This record gives sequence, structure tokens and C-alpha cells, in this order.
Amino acid sequence: MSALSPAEQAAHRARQLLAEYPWREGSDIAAESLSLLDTLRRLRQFSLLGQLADRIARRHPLDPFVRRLQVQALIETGQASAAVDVAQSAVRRLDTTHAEWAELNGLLGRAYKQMFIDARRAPDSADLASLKCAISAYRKPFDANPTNTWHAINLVAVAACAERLQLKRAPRLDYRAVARQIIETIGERPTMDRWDSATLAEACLALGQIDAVEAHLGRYLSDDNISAFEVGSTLRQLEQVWDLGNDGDRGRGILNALRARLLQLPGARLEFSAEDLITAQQAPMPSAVQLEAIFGPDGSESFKWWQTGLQRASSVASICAGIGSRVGTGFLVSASDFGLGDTPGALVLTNFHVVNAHGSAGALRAEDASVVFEVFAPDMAYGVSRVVWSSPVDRHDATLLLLDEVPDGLVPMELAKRLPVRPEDGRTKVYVIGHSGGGGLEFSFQDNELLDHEGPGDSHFSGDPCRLHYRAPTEKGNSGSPVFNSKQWQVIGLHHAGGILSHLNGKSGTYQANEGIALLSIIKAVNAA
Amino acid sequence: MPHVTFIHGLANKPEAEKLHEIWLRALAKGDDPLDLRDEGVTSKLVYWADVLYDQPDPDTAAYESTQERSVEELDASGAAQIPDAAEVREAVFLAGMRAQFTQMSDAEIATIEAAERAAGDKAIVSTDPSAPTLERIPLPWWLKKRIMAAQLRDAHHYLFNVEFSPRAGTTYPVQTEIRQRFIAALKAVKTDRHVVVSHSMGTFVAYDCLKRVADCPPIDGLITLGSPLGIDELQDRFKPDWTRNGGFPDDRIKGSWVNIFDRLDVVCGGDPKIANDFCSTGSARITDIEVSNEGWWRHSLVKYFVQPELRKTLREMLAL
Repeated sequence: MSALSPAEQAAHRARQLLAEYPWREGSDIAAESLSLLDTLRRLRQFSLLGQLADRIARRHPLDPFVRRLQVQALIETGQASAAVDVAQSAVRRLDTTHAEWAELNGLLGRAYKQMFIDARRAPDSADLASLKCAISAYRKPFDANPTNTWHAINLVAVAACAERLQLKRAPRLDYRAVARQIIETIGERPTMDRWDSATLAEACLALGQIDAVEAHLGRYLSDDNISAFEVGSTLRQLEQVWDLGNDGDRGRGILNALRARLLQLPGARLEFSAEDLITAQQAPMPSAVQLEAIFGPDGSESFKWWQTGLQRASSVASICAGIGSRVGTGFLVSASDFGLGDTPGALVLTNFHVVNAHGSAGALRAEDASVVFEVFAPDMAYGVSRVVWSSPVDRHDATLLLLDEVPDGLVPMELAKRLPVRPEDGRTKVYVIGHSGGGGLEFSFQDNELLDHEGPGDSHFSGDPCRLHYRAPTEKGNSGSPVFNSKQWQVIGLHHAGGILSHLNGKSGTYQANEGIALLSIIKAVNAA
Repeated sequence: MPHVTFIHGLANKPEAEKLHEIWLRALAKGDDPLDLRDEGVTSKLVYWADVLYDQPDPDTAAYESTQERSVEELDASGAAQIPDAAEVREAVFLAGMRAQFTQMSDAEIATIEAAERAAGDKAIVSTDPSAPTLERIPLPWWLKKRIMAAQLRDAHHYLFNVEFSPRAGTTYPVQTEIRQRFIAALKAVKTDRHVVVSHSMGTFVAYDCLKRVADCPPIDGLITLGSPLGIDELQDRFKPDWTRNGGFPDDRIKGSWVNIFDRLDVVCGGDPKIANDFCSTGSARITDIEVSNEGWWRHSLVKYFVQPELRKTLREMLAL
């Protein structure tokens, strides 16, 4: 096996330890597992974290550190009510002076908050009770130590949320006063980190100081070490707890700017429903002043880049078997780009294993497939008039479909004239837009690094398939998705597979990767046919 | 696969990899982005700041900034001092170069500096349109002195191949070392389309190697930005290989040489156009293109990199 990333190494070791369970009495495996827990947390391997914490807790049920990490894993894997049970049980056994007491209360608040958020579009009395429980859970460590700004700011956020919902809150809780106290506490610190900036942004939001919110967010987002996970968390907090999307153009502008910043970070991932994507496409551009405050001098440019990506999504289609059952992705291309200028009508490119003329390789037969541009015309299902060209799975895994009707006004994808450089000549990103797991349209931006490709140095492609490898979370259903270059959103490849793959270009070893076929090699093959 | 060799200019810089990324990002900004990596163009930055400076500059953000507030943003980082001349020819060179920046004596500058300090660091600027550009830039003289010192020190040490110790235990013959790095970078390129982009003093390193170093490989194109090659004192240092009628390195530049300048770029001196100074058997072969960068500090690399003329030229040379 080739060199593993730290996350892969930790995951690999965790799986080994789980397989070795039950551990021998007196062995040092238990100690190693304990130390591995925090590593898994840092690397956000929450499923394995939960499993390993569970095994350790069976032997050490009273260990608050293990219980805390178990609670976090439960929250992160969508098991908030189980997290509440574990956290409540653990916190009851602790004295308020114990270091884990405040942490567990904070996580208890977070679990309740998550329960409310999950139901926020139509909360019932139980969900509203969760919000009140969140206030109570955050308040305890805040009362015990008012300088703990993590608990304090969450207390402010959930209390403000309760006020918007006109819920009765705990008596004598003036969250605006808490917000002012947070600002004062952080102001007295000799240095500020990015967490302080994010906290200050929320505190100022509670006080309605929008200029200050943007300034603090700007400092937060400009930190070189900020991660996609952190920005994603901030985005969710502002969107779901602070309801900033319903707070006028300025609030929506902040959310849009955060989304744009998120997509620039390695490991980012955004998912949109078709409806949300249309809303995002149509959103007015935030003011230059606002973009500069949040992004710095290049704010407008970054936002335009994001908007271009959103616009490209219009030309992405889901390939459906019958009505509504998505089996893959395709995208509109220009006949002239494929040397088929005399072909009238609209062409969609997808994988051979998604659609082909005879339904071989488990694919849909062309006559059974329908094509829906979910953003451009969600109610319109185009049929396939004929297969213009195809190449089997072990070659280009590609099929060019001629639609039975032209989607008027829809712009074909812009294709790149060259492949990016290989990683030895500089790291580059790729982006994939597609329909994951048969679900809604998804923007996929996670771990989107170009790992290698087989492109010729002189850009003179033969008709043979030229493979691209990249690290991006494309799930089943993303087959046939366009793979874009990083700056101009031009298509460089057709996504077709993922898994443990052998390295390209004669290099030894394997890695977890996704594979696409270079568009330029497909075009060459089409021209040669 | 086309390749670009970059070479940076005067004064201290961030560490090599970061500076290279800054240059690539600067090219990829704006409405007409040129992302070399997306375009499949490989590149390398010839880095030589460590030959003259102890440590890389940690303030990387300043090198992407188009503000004009700090020495880093003004190509004057590193606290270089104007050297003492060891020989008469060096003294002549330094005096000539200094005259490109200011006609004022050290005493006059000290007087102005004191007045500026008394006025709360408010710049006192010459309104004489015939004064050297540096005197007309509204920056305080404590900053201008550092800009001037970096230019004179670095150019002097290269052109006179001074033995210099940037840090304890390390000594370089400056010209020999920088030449080696540039030539090695050129030799490592295996492509049929190789373009060199040089900024500031990087331009006279590139020219020096292309014209005067026997084993320097040929390139397909040269783009010079904010070049000081029009300054007589510099041209004199390239004699006898350089002559006005035969200064073009015919056998080393297979394609074109495009010189992009801003008339108010202080490093270009009073003669930013160089086509007439580096002819090929009496005929001009260099294309001089004038641009207008933003702000007062016109020498900034990131300002040159957003110019459409630069991007158009680079695209043409790389056949993109």
C-alpha cells in the first residue's frame, strides 16, 4: 500500500484495534486506543471515534474523557438524542469543578441545539423544548465561569433564537448583556485567535452591529489556517440558529460570502437542492463594501468565481430511469466542441455505464432514459433521440446522447483546452458537480485535489483514454458528472469511477481516488470515429 | 508542456515557495485570469533573496498587497545599506545609480526627513516635474531611503560579484551564485516553449546570463517587467559584451523580447524604453509596451501582473 495520509493511518489503526477486540487484560491496547481517540476527533473520523469510544467505555464506563468523545461522535454522526443520554449520565457523576463538567454540558447544549435545528422548518413542542434545554445546558458552565466564551456565545445564540420564536426563556437571562460581556472578555486578551473573531462576530450580531459582524468575520476568514469544517460550522450557525437568511439583503450577503469562501478551502463540500441552487443563482451580489469587509480586497472576484460555478450547474442534468429515479449525471456539451458541428440538436455527455444504446454493462437503454436539467427546467424530462457515439467502460466509459428536444437558452459547458499541470509541477484542485446517491444536485468540493493524470506533455491527445485521478467525494450517482478546473470552471473530465485505484503513469502502489476521463481524449476519439 | 521561468527582483522576499505561489495567484486574479497550472503550464521561480538576506520575509500578505504602507509593499524589505565602494569604478557606479533616484545630497535628505517627522510623518514631495521620480512620490523619506538602499546595494553586489555573507557561516560570490541558479533552472527545462518572465533586478540577471554566460541555454521568449536596463550605469557594466547596436542576445532568445514598463516606475529610471539600447545588428527587436499601474508605487510585481498587456503577451508566447 502506498503512503497513507494521517487520517487514513489513524482510521486504519482504529479498524485494526476494533478487529482485535476484546483486548487482553493488561495489554497496552487499551492505552493506545485511548490516545487514538483524540487523534480521530481531530481528524474528524467520527464513525470510528464512536465505535472505539464505545469499546473503551465498556471497560471504563465512568471515564468522563471517553464519554465526552463518545458524545461528540454521536452528535457528529446524527445521533443527538443518544448523545443527550450519554452526556446527562456522565455529567451527573461529575463535580462542577471537574474540567470535563463544563465540556460535557457544552456538548449537551450542542446536542439539544442540533435536535432543534434538525426540526427547525416545522418545530413542534418537543423541538422547542430542546431549544430551552440547550439554553439551560449552555447556561450552567457560563454561570460557573463567565469568561468561558465558547459556552457564552452559544448561550447567546440559542437565547436569541428563542426570542425570535417568542419562547419564554429562563428568567434573568439578558443575552445582549452576555454578548457585551463576551466582547469585553475577549477585548482583554493579549492576543486573539480566529475563534475569538468568530465569537465576536456572533456577539456583535446579537447586538445588531452588522458592520462589526462583517469586520470580525473578515478577520476570521483571512486566517491562513482556517479549515472548511470551521467555516462550514460558522455558516450553519449563522444560517440555522441566527436565521440570517431571513434577515434582509445584508444577512443573505454574509451567508453567500461565507459559502463562496467555504468553496475555496480544501475539503469543502456544499450540497444544494435544485430549489436552493436557483435561489443562490438569483441572489443579488452583495455590495462591494460588504465583500471587501468579509473577503478582503479580492472579495468581488471571489464572489464572481463562486457565481460562475453556480451558473455552470444549470447545464448539469440528472439521467433518470423513468420518472424521478436518478441513476447518474450528464451535462450539456456543444456539438462543435466535439467536431460534430453538423449534428443538429442538443448533446449530453454521460458515462457508458449509465446509458448506452443496448443497455449493456448494467446501464439504461437510451430509449428508457430521460434527461432532466434540475436547475434549468426541473419539470421538463427530455428523451433521447439517439446515441451519437459511445465508448465502453474499459475505454472512455462515455456516451454522447442526442436529446429529442433542444433546451432553449441553456448554455453548453465550456471545455478546457488543456489539462492542468501534474502534482509534481504544482498542486491544483478540481471540482465535481453532480447528483450524488440519487439525491439532489450536489456541489462536491471535498478534498478536491488533482492527484495525477495521463495527459501528454504537448497536449496532443491520441484517441486512447486519458485518465485523471483526484480526491473528491463523488458518490454513486455522480457517474457522468463534469470535472472542472479550478479557476475558470471549464470542464476537463468526465467522472466515471472511484475507489482504491492504482497510481497512474507507471507509479507503484494504490490510493483512494476518483477517476475521470479527460474530455480532450474523448473529443479525439469522437473525431476519429 | 509550456514552461515559464520566473526570476524576482531587488530586496528581501518571502520564502521561495510562498513567493512562487504569490506570483501564480497574482496572474490568476482579475477578470481575465491566467491560471498557469489550470492551463497546463509548468513554472519555476528562480529565487535568490537568500543570497543577500538573512531570513525570508515572514510578512507574505504584504507581497500580495497593492497598498503602499510598508517596506514590504514597496520592494524595500531587508534593511539593506548602501555599500561603501571598494574601487573608483564602484563609486562611480553607485553615484550614477543614486542619481537616478535623487539629486539631493544626504544632508538635504536628512533635513527633509526631520521636517517630515516634525509634521507627523507627512511626506514632503518635490513638485518639480523634472525631478527624479522617487522625489515626486508622496512617501516619507525614511521609506524612500530604504527603497534606494535596497536597489543600490543589491545591484552593486551582483554586478561587482561581491563576496557576501547574508548569515553566519554562509558566504556567496553574489553574481556567481545567482548566475548558477538561473542557468541551472534554464537547463532543467525540457520543452519546446520556454518563456522567462523577469522583474526588476531579475531582468539584469536574466540579461546578464543570456548575453554573457557561455553555457546559458536558449529560450523562446523573454518578458521583462519594470526593467532598469535602460540606465546607462547598468549598461556600462555589461560592456564589452553589450553595445547599443548589438546588445540583443540573438542566439539565446529564439522568439521575442517584450519589455513592459510604467513610466513612473522608479526602478526603470529616466529611460524605461530599452528597444533602442539592445538592438540586433542595429535594428530594434525588443517591443516596449507602456502600461499604467495603480497608485504611487508603480514597481510592484502584482500590479504588473494584472495588466492585460502582460497577460496577452504571455499567452501569445506560450501559444495558449
